[in-house]
Amino acid sequence: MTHPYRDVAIAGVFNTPQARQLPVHDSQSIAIEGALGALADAGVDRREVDAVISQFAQDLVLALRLGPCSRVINSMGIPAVLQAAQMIACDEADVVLIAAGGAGMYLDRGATAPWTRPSNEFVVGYGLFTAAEFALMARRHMIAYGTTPEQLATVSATIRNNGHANPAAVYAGRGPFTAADVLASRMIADPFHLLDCSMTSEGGCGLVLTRADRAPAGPKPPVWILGGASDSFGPAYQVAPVWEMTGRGDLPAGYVGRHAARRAFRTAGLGPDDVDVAEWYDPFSFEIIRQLEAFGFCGEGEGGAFVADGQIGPGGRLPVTTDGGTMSFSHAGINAQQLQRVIRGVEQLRGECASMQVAGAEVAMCSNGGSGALFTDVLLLGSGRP
Amino acid sequence: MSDSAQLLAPQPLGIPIPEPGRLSMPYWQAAARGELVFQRCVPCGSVPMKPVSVCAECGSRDLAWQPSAGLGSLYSWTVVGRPQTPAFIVPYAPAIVRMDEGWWLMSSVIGCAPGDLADGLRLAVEFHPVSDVLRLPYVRPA
Repeated sequence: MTHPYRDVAIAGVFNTPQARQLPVHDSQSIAIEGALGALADAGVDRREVDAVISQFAQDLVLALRLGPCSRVINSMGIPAVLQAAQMIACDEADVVLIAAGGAGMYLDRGATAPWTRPSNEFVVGYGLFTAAEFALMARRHMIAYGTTPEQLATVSATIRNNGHANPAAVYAGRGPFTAADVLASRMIADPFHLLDCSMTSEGGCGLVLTRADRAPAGPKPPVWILGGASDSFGPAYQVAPVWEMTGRGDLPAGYVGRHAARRAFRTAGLGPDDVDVAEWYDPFSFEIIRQLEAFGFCGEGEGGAFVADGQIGPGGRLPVTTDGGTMSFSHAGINAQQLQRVIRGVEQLRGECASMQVAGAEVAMCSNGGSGALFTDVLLLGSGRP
Repeated sequence: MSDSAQLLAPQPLGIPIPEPGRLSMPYWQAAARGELVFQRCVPCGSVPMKPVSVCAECGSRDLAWQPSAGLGSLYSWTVVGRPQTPAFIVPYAPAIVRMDEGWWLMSSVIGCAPGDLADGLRLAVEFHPVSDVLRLPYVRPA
């Protein structure tokens, strides 16, 4: 059978400058910069765009004078990329532009970032925010398997050191960090210390997908979508994040993403052993340990030992979140960071990373979401056409 | 970092106030009277994660609010050192309680030190005001 995404190419990716603050921008204006950069990277004229997927889809159509143009208002990351690929595969569009941005949203530093604070009636009175929600999941894993704060801190140090080495990261040069540094940072929501948590910043990004026969030849080869899928157990931050909550089967919410990963691997005809680099969402250190288990890179309860063995670091079996992720590269709200996992995967497969390039990487696995948010999206990218 | 000997306490007035919905109103009305209730499907006995109008398990629309004994075991918790907003006084300990009737309560532990929190700790519900009319269920070691 022909692969469903055989005729879809990721032709362009771009990150704007990322910073703690970009005072001249708002979320929409920095998303436009992300869009323009991605078009330039792809070598595609804006007048060739016939679909836009973005939190600002309609605004981008107007600002870039793209009409008449399909617009899909979608503030997700990997689901937006998969939707773009499906639009091309189904002949709804030949060139799809995806863009996102966050700036000027987080001004009251006395509180946690606004997108981290739920307002549902059953959680609002208990002072929950994303770090606490994810901590409630991590705690169950620590109880069940003896996962330690030191193992969590090893994840944080690894990813923060990736960002330390990345000249484009907001926290470039801010390390290096050891696990002891992480454990010495102040407690946010036990077991998460400050350095176990993602940071906040401002920035934008974009991607361009095209029909394969329109992908430009040149120094930036197309990157291919090998498979992808999404898992959800419900809306984030409305009910208690119970590890063993189930839905239509036996899979606990704590392993959200396992079903999606199996589906993506099936589409790709691959398995975890084939993945060269893992550009995974890193909202909190524990989530890397959890994803190793959820996605089948190790057995249940073995994620802590996996990261303690150095397998996720430079030269390890599975380098993880090589740009520094949301802990160090950037975390500009809910939208841009989700696309940035995909952008980094593309950069790895092109072999163009300025730091932490995984030599000869042919398959990258990207992810969004996490247990505390009750969803996980996965995407498998390849340097070879499926 | 929080003082591990400090007793966890209810939050003072001024924190964000829950906004009851049509389906959840009985829960908050009971809480205002100092009673804990939960919704259970009459035919099949299953308990939803939040108030519903249709049982996901059996499809029945016959769901009843039942009184809870207010007792359960600590399932998961965190001790917060950096508050969501300055309205919250730290440390506080959001917790998931496995209630004896077989449902999950999102709450917050009070009346003990953070270092006393442990898997399976027995807990009893008590109520503290969050506004002139609403009271919020907290849990205290039983």
